[in-house]
Amino acid sequence: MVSNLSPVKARERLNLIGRLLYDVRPLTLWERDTKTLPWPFAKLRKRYRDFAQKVIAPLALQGDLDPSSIDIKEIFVKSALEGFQTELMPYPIGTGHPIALARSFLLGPMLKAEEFCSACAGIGLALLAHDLGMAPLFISGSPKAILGWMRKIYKNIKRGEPEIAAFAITEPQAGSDAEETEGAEKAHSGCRARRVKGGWLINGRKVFISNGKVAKWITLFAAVEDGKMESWTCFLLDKSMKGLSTGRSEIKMGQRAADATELILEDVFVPDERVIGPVKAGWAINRNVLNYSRPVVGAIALGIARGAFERALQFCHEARLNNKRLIEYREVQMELASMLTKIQAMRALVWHTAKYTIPFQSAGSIAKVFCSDTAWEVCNQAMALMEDHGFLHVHGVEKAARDARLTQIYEGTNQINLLAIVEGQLNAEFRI
Amino acid sequence: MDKETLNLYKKLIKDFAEKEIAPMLEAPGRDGDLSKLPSIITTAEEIGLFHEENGLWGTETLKAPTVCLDILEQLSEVCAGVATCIHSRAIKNLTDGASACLKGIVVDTDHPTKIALLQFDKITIADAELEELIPRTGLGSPKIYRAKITQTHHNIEGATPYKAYLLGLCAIACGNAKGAIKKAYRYASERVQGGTEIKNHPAVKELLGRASAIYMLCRNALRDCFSRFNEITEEEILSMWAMVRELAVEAVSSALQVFGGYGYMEDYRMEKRLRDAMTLRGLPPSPLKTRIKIAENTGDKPW
Repeated sequence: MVSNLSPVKARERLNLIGRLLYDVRPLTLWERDTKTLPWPFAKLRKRYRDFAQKVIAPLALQGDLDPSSIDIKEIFVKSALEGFQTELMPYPIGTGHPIALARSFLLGPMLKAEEFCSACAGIGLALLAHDLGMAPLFISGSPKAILGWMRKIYKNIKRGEPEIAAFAITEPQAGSDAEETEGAEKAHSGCRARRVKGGWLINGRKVFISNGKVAKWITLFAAVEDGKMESWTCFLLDKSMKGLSTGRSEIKMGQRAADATELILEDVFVPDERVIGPVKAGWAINRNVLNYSRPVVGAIALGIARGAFERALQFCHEARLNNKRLIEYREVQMELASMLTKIQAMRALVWHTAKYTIPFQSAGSIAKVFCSDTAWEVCNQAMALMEDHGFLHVHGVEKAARDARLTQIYEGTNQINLLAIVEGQLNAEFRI
Repeated sequence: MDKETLNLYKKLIKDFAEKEIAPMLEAPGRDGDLSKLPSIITTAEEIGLFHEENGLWGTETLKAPTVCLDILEQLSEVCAGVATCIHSRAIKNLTDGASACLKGIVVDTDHPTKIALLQFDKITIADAELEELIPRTGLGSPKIYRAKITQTHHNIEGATPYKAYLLGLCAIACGNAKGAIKKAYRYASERVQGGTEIKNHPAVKELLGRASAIYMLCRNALRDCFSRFNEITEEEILSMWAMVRELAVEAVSSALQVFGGYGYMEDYRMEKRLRDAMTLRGLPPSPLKTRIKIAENTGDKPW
């Protein structure tokens, strides 16, 4: 029986204006938040969610146990036919909603990241890493890259070709060094491009490249001639190039459906037309790509946490203790409320970051650090709440925790991102 | 046990861990080469780890209970899964040969024939239907079952099995963290980023310091509990149970972070440590339930 002091009952005693000011609608936070989104983001969010539930979620557990048993290219094509893999540019080059892109370039990718990764972060990463691979073409600002290469690649994708892209910066001896200024100044890039007639010859290795195995297109960064990281130049490679091969695919703790593969370059000839942006402008392109991608990692973490919460909530509805559903225990409710609070805080930060017209360094890093740390907390809370069920694969919560852990590492470890925040706000905030 | 015997015993365990257990983890596979586990358990038996008097949880060993902490820490520094197997096997010396069962969960090397339901002041020997819990996050070496009691037999009075089981698993969580931290210190001295070893970076120092502080706090608290094994109260044990496993996850996670991307890859065996720590934490009762029970037990007269 509902108490007379409950908000729903108590509200009935108010006059019309009082009742209009007192919102007790039984809506989920997802529903409430979606209503706040400007057009056309609300509709986009629902489309992403539908796709995640119908296509991604059914493959989540299987893809985690045995990544080779799912076909990422097939999922990519399904996503592409929905228009989800060509959204960085508006029609007619891509399928990005022009008003959405004009209102907020990042909100669409962030909504997509949350929905896809709440279903499965591994498959979500594989689909989102394609956007990361395409990003340098756009961020270079080069008309040739945008109107030439992006248009061509997007045209093929829209036709249903699985032309997946990958972003290649990490090297065996340069992980963090590829992601922050101080380290990069002292680092030596192992991947080097030597000038030859008509183009460049590239030698070296890249490691941990998401989609490295399945990608056709790779935006790869190499130092030119004898230069260090400041000479980094962005090149657009494709798998048909002689001398380009894939090496080891790492076995990861989580996000296992997306491969993390080594790229081996042995005298790979890259013609001049494949240089993206000016020569030696690669470091700037790399850093700015991270400004756009780090907030999306925040959204990935948010999605993972939300997925863990939803599964833990469902478990609490189904499991019983002493003939009472777990959800009916106050201690369990409090723990779930704590998780929900953190998820809302993450979403608030992610959506706030999307409001900046042009994403900037500290904004991206703040979103990434906060959301990844909080997602790890939420997933661990969910696991601990479920006790021995928490560590069972079948419930998907321990998978979410393993998936969440990677968000504290990739796109720059959180420690590197803290340095990026200091650098980004050095003069304005820290005034050093 | 005199000091010389104790040192010999510790060396024996250390050699066993390095020569028998470590090679298992050098093989590929999520938890190493588990086909080596039976021979590891056989060797553990041969060196006396399951001896009724002088083995782990043996009657003589329990006269100096911190030896048990040292043994479990030494073993779990190399592999928490194998340490858990040895711990659960040794506990059977205290439970009439039955496999320990806490809150419906049994951990053992083989399929148990009888289980011992653990409570603070007594254990109940019982039969049960067992459901193996796989696939799961970590602790790949032992078998973990959910038990549905079908028949109870007799009770055995006494708190020793309960104390030994819970404190032993806490010791394993702690030792697993120690192994992770030691590896992280080594890696930080070798890996160069930004032109210097990463151990010189403030962020890495913070991670290592945090992990070390957690480990030392937990180890010292456990050492105190083990040294007062006979007098320790249920609330003190539950406090260890509530906090050590959770803190151990944090310590291992901090150590893993030092490795950057490499820490997340199966080869480096750091992610295995984190998965093991998370699984140890998941054994019921959960940290949350345990904290509530402590408050309920304590009533209005803490300390």
